[in-house]
Amino acid sequence: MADEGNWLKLQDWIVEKMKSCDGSLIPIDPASLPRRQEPELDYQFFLENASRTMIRFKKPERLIRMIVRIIDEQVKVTHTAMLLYQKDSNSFEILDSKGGEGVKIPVGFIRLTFDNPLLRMFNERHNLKVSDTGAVEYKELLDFLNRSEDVKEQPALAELVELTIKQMELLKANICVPIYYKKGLIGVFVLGKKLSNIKFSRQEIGFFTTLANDVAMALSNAQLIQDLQDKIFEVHRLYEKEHSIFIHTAISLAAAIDARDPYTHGHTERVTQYALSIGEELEDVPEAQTYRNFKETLHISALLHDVGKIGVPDSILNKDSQLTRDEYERVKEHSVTGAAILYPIRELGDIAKEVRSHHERYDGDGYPDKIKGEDIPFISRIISVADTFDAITSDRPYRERKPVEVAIQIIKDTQGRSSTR
Amino acid sequence: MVKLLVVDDEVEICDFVKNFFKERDFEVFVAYDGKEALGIIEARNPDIVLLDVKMPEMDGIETLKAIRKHNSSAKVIMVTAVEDAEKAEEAKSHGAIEYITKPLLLEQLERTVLTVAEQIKMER
Repeated sequence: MADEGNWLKLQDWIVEKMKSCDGSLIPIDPASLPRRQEPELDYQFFLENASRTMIRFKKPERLIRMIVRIIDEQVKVTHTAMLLYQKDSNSFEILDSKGGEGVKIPVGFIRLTFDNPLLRMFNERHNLKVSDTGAVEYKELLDFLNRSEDVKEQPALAELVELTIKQMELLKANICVPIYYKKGLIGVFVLGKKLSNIKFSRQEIGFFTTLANDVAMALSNAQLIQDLQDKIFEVHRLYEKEHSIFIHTAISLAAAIDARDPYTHGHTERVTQYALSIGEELEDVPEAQTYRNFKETLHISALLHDVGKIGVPDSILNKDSQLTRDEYERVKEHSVTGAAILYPIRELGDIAKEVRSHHERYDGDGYPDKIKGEDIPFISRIISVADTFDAITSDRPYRERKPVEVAIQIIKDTQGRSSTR
Repeated sequence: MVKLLVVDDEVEICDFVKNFFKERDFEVFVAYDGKEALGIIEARNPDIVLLDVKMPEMDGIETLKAIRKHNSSAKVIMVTAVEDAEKAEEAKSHGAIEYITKPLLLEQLERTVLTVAEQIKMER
């Protein structure tokens, strides 16, 4: 799952960016604006201010609902509806509506297809030939048809106007305002008559156009954010997938190493478990914080700590008696071999180092580099303790296992010498 | 005047359609479920029934079957959601004369009902 906190931050960042590019997006403090004297213009101020701040709405649907509500409450029309393009049905559907009983167009009840004359009017920009505001008014369409010279000059347009009138009658629309995004029509505000029966003023139409632009902006923002979120999610998913493949490869490799050594069967799995348990306790200490991803590095290092045993001959691994000095030296090579195997894999980062040092001792008496104390990587020290614990508590060809309490005592006794403090 | 019965469990849809056809000179009745619809059919004998398929309890198909049992001559137009297209075919096999899918085209709703109304007037 994509990190919600992150994408919210990203969204804020986008809003900030947009603010710096376009001053109109800055939410306005009402106190800073000059008081409007005319009481009949109050709602205009309200709309203007609301529309500017509402750009920040996370979900455009909410913005649209709020706009529809504001128009309904402030402008007082018989009904308001917001048609929005729906990809699924390739048509325009009502996303929200308000209005009186029987006049309100129910949400989801109707759709308009692209051949609809009203949509063609906007989509093909014929609206600009009829009205200079871009909005289509019922009255203006009638006026157009009454101008016989216009009708004669543009018969095709006249026909479209006639069909649009019919369409507006079906919707009981008095005025329709287009919403464009990237030059394409994505929605239409449908407004009925004013309850006062007074004609809409140019100023009012201007405000509807502003609101339409805001909706387009909000939708494009939401689209942008959605696209980014999808991308983040996809990257995250790919990472998870790759990571899971990687961990499973490491587990398979570890199992292959384990399978070669019948006496230490299950050793890697147990050491990994112990190391992760220790890691859980220590994840908040400063040393753990020095790793970019402590838990993951610990997990993979533990899984692969004995990968170098691949280079130790079977005759030595399978020997059921004490090893000779030479044989023991061969076994000791496994930490260097392991590091050499892991080193070329860039993604593994520090893991080669951790594997190389998992047999170092705190007092400097370990191998291969005889480094001591805090010079030994933190994760190597954890694996070392886990490794020791497993060695004591499991059977070996030449001795029986000891109880857990004994193992803990031994590790405590050797603190500062073989193991970490 | 042609009598139209609108059956839909959504009040807003009933209100809208009622108003829509009242303005087109229909006498319009409204029922919010199948049972209520049967009562109105009995009492008012509507000429056309606009019947929503998806309703709780008695759905549109059940209501249609009951209307047919009633020996009503009402012409039934089904209204179905796009995803219930096969229901529309089923309704036709039970005597519905037409169906409209929701969300619908207003001009199609108008044309369909007006055409049926014209037929009824001719038959009279």
